[in-house]
Amino acid sequence: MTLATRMGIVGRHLARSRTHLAFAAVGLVVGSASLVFFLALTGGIRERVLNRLYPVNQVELQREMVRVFGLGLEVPSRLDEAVLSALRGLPGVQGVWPKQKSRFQAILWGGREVFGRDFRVESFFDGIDPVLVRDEIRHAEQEAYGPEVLSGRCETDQDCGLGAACRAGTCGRRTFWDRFRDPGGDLLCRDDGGCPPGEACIDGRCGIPCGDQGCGEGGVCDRGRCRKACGSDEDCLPGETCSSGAGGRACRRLECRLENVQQVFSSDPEVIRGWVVSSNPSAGESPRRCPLGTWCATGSVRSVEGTCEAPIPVILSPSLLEIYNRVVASAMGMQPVSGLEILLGVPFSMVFGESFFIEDAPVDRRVLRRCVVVGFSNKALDFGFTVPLGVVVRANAMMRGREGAAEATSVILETARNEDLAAAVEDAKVLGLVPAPRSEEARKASQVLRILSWVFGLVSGVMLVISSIHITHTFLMLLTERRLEIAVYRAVGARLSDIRAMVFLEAGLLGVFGGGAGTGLAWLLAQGVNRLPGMGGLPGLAGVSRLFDFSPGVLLAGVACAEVFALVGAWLPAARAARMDPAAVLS
Amino acid sequence: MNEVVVQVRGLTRVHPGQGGERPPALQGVDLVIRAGEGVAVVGRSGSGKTTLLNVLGGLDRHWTGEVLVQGRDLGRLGDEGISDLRNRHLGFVFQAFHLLPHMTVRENVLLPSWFGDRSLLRDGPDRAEAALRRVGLWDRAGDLPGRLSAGERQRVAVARALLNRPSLLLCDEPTGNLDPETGLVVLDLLLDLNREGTTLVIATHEDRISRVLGRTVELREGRVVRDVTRDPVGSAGREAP
Repeated sequence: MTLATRMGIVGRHLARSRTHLAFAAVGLVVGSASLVFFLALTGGIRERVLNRLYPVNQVELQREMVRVFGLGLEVPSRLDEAVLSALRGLPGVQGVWPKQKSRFQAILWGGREVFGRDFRVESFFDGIDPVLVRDEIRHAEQEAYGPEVLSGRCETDQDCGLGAACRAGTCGRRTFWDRFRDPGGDLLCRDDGGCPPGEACIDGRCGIPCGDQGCGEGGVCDRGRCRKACGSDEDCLPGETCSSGAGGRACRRLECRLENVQQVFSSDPEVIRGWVVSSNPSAGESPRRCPLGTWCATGSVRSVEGTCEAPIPVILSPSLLEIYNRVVASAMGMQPVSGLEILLGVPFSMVFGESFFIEDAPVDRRVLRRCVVVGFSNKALDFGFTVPLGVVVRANAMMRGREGAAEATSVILETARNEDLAAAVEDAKVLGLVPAPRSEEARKASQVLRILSWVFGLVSGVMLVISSIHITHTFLMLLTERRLEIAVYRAVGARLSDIRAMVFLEAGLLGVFGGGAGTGLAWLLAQGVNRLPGMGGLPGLAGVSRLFDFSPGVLLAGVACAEVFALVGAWLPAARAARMDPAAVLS
Repeated sequence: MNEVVVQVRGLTRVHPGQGGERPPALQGVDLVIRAGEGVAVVGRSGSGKTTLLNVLGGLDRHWTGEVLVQGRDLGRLGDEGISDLRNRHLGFVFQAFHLLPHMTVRENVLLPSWFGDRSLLRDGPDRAEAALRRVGLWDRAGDLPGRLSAGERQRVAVARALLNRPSLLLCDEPTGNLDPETGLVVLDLLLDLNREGTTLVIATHEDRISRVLGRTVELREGRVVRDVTRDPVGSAGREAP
């Protein structure tokens, strides 16, 4: 018996018994709709909410705190390279990402472009490895701005129009996420104690000293310090130039100076680029400013000499915008900010060592640095902002010396498998590290979510079981109606397997229909829920506009579960149909 | 001597629940039917006629003894083998016609081809047309059975049984639900098939049928009490001497 013939017969059965079968499918529709709805909801919350706050295979660890009369005191231990190495050696751990907070006071000002006037506030920031957040901020940016590659061939940026750039012959959207990387920078120093760990003070600037084996692949030893080998300026960071020197061609940071000390605080983008100090004044080169996209970062607010540097890329926590909209904007009568994307590319300045509250550093040791907002991440500091780790390490070394830059504030531990995380956290306790409060809260939320998914799954399962029983009942009734038909089939040559297959095929089609309809119903319900007031944008989550995650797996699960329960429901009728005695029916 | 189509030895069938008071439906039946024979199985109600046909057709499998149909031992064949035998070599005509009411006449006749191999499926439509023309109902092919008279329905049932060109046609009281006139038409049809070489076994309690077939096997309380072979009269319309 061919499948087409079988389908033809089953199609007739379905058409004849459509009313009965439609009622039988109601249970499947409701059960699978409920299952898909809750799977999509819990999956969505997990993927789009919890995993952003707290990826299931990551945990942020910090030094253990002891509480004395309600005061939190850190257990005296160090989160230094030795502890990080120990963490890297734990079973199942695939990544250890240190975070370091700024250990000095700082004031920032800026925001005129968005808020209409400059803010001037005490600021806090921390540093994180850019790799850890790059995907997240890219995803958030794509959700806000759409695809990066635009249509159209191009030769120059002008061919692509406003806000777009020509990349490899194709127009592309101007992107920000890729700017979140360490911009580098030469730190002025007097001795090694003013340099970050691993660096030494060489000729008044911090750098990695050449080792016995040189500087490794891609490095050039230039007068005792390692520099990146290069072929052209393209190989170097912004503010660097590829030039020849001892050891070969290497990236060297351009030195610059401002015309006067007042220009340190200038907001004129041309003025702050200063003038590049020629390495060979007698060569008669025409004066030039720091390259576009960089500025002249001086050694202090009282100094006019510095190096060309790109602005420090900064990522913000979406929570910060909420705080602004809900507290600051209403208190100060300012316009709330409609979306995070409006802040991308906004520049601001920071003065390290200045504070509204304390005398943190003498004026001649204060340093001005320029920054730009390039993205949003839930891993960013909630009250402050986050920059690439190298920036904080250098800044801490500059303001607090090597000791201030030697220790991480916290560390993000990543395991290869989700189930390894709990054991890794236990192992880390031996090292005096415990989950940060935020991670702990998220872990509890994750547990609650897991319990809820089980409960919802159980409810859906009960519905499907009931629908399965209903299908059994309906099919038994239909088979009673079709006894003669089945007996005639047997008399003209139908095999038992043909009869069974027809019953299962009929139930299978019912399952596909019920599961498909249920999945569709769940999707429609989810669209309705997404449109409820307050569901348009979820607080604290950049780029999250939909709470439900209708992944192919969830859709498949809805149809597959309905299918399985339909087939289970058809099991008894199929067996009974096959056991039926045709002789008794036909005689 | 024609080849043996049916060979039965010591066939006994006890229906479930039959105690010692009632005799088995069939007990110790021995029977040989050769190709082309026309056999009337006669006897009173409950004598085992229908049970014998069901056993020969492989519809009833709860018996003891030995039953060979077309040389195949039904006791050793699995469901697949027996279904295949029914589909390729056997035809059934029932007293109650057993046409499927939701299918057209043509579809009812085509039914065996749906469960057959690809060649039967391919040839099915042509064979169905030929069978319906043979029973004179091709012009009613698109009708549902409910629109046909009883005699026409039984002719459709005969056409369905002919689709696979069976070597053995098993008919259980084929005229039992028909008036005498209509019954004669159907009987003539069956006799024609028998004359053309189809082995015909008809379970009946009508004397006129047994008279026109070449052989009569009489059952009583499940046993063969008479097995008479004679020259067939030739047509159902003529009285046997």
